[in-house]
Amino acid sequence: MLLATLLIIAALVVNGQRRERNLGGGERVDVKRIERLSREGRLGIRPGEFARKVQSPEEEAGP
Amino acid sequence: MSGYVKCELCPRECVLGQNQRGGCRSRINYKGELVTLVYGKPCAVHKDPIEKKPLFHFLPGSYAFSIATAGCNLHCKFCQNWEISQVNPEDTNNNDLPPERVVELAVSSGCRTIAYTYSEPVIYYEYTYDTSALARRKGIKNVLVTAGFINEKPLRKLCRVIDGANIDIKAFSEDFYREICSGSLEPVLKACKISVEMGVMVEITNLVVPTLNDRPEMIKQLCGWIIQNLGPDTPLHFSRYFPLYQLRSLPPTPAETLSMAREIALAEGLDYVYIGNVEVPEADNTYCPSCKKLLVRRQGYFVSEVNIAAGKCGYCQAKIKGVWE
Repeated sequence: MLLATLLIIAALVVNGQRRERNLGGGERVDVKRIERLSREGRLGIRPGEFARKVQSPEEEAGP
Repeated sequence: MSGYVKCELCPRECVLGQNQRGGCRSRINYKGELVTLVYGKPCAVHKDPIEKKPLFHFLPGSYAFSIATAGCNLHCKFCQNWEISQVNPEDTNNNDLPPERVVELAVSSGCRTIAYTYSEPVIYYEYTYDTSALARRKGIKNVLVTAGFINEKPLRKLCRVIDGANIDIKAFSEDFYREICSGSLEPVLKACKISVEMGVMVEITNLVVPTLNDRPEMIKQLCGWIIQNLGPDTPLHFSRYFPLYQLRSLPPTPAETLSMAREIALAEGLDYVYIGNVEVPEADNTYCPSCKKLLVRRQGYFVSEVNIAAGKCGYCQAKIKGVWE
């Protein structure tokens, strides 16, 4: 019982920290809609600066 | 291949899986690459008096060609422009306006400046940068109206093409930034210092929200920090809050509170302190800190008198901080 409680608390803490850091936790986009709006000239799909590929969200958490 | 990308534009440093959107709403992971959705796609385009930004020490009486895209990397509960800053770019009515066209329109409409404003220019960084670089070559100046929530490297690059900025310090409190804005104060203060260091003409705005950031002690701390780190000749604007977006329970900031804040700032030693979003007699005029005479008379956003020549007081020749010609 005690172990289960500790595990739940640990999960809540980790989850809260991840949410705070915005770890890969962004909303999922509707890619088809974005591609359609881009073809219509209402959105762009253009490489952004200051980005890099990472292996996993946990290892690359922001400050 | 993991397919994750990390955006290092702002201190959020979002790590995004495939098809995920960053906290700013405008940058996504598309096929394993970070892309911006808003380059050349402003949802707001206007010709404004530069005083509306507010920038009071930057070509007074001139017009700024003003643009914004959807999105913001802060989520202030009191946001005064939430209809465009707190929505996805798919859901706004966007124009197709590449940088060349923005500069052409600025020139043809008689604007001396392009303002990147309304929402948050940091999140449409590439668009801001390319437009600014092109505008510079055509003799048009560039100003940011920003919350200054940006990492050092991109900021230093951007400052090379920016002439002026109004940076919002929302409160002199980390708790306020975390709880009300989903951000943090420290990177904003750093951005203010870097901008000044890189020669950008910086003015500061503080939106005063009743009960949340209107304590005299907090205002004193803000003023002390500005004096010490940016200089006493940094213009400071106290702006009136109106109940909007997710914070509608508080009343608009009383004019007396804004006057109190202005009195504190002047007593602390700031040279130029203004009140915005409400009519308070003489609180939007510029006075010479040396001889105290009237230098710029303003009525709302309009300038009716300027007594500054070659950056100096027309009466006593004291140097006046700003971009005047």
